[in-house]
Amino acid sequence: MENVFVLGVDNALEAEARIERLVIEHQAKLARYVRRFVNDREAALDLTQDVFFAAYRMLKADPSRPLTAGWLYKTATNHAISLLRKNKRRGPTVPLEELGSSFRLDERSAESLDLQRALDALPSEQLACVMLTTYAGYSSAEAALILGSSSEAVRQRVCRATRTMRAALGATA
Amino acid sequence: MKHPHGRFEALAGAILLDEATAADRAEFALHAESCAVCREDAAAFTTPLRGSVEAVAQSETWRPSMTDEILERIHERHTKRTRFTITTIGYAVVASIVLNVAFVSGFGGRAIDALRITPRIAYSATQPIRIEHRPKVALVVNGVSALVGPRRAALAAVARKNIRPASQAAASDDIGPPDVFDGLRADESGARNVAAGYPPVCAADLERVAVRPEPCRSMPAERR
Repeated sequence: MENVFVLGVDNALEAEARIERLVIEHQAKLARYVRRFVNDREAALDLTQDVFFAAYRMLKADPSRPLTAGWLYKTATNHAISLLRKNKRRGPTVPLEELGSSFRLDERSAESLDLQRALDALPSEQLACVMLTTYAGYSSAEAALILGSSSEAVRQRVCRATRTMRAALGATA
Repeated sequence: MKHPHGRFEALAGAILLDEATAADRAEFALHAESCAVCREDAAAFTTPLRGSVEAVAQSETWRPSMTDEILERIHERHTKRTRFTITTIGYAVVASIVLNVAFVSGFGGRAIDALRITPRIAYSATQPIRIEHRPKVALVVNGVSALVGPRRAALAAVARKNIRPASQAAASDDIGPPDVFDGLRADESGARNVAAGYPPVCAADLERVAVRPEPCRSMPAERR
């Protein structure tokens, strides 16, 4: 019993050390990724924290388990898709005039806001493919592994997403 | 892929992500000559999707730091779990002490006895009811029921005087009424013989002489 307790404490300490390193390394990029996904800075911060906390729980249960950036992006994508679906059920809460308010003043370039407008028009599956392959920089094969799909399907969704984004930008232009 | 364009959409996606080989590009170009939709897709190839998104991402300056918040949340979780564990153990210890004291002092046993309810219906519902059919000769010995009290037996003997056999009546005028308890001691065959010695009587006489046993109060009521 004592050994189990000591092992639990050791696991917790080791997991805490590893999660600290992961947070320092990936927090900024992951938070920006999630912000592009959900277009809400506060929600992005909450989701990113949830992702790291889930990673901590997993590491505490099994400290020897390798935890890659891919796992973080996969979890972040799943959390973000869940939030988008929840928001979709709830209905729109942010007026269109406030679009782009999740970006700092120095980030509000025309390209940045256009990209966000185009991303907002995508269904969640296509958005996940586009974000993983372009924003996070994964190949279609890696994105397929993260999403549990095939690389053909990922490429196909990227193609369809490009059409949708083009239509969205053309409609607002 | 169910959609006929599925393969070419995948090829277009590969070109957009800059993952397509020269053969893929040639195959798509050949197809795009005869397909308006794919020609429109090919127009987007001039601005690679990945490159433009990466350029936007590079310009982002938001660098949130959440290390302290996450570590604080982890410590808070530790504290909560520890508090929950200690509270649970404390409640369990207190509950066991209370139960021990209650049973050692006898209060618990009395409380359980007070709560124990045994309805009479439970007995009749759970125990089989056995209805015995006893032969008449065993019940009525010498014209007297074996289950009656001495007072009723004496009354029955007086009533039986007039229906005794003639041989017994002649020989035992001075004997008096027969002892009821001798009849009780007689075995079944003896009782049958004695009963066979009596002359047949009419139903009215039997009604008058036979004494019905009183039902025992501890037995459940007869079901109809």
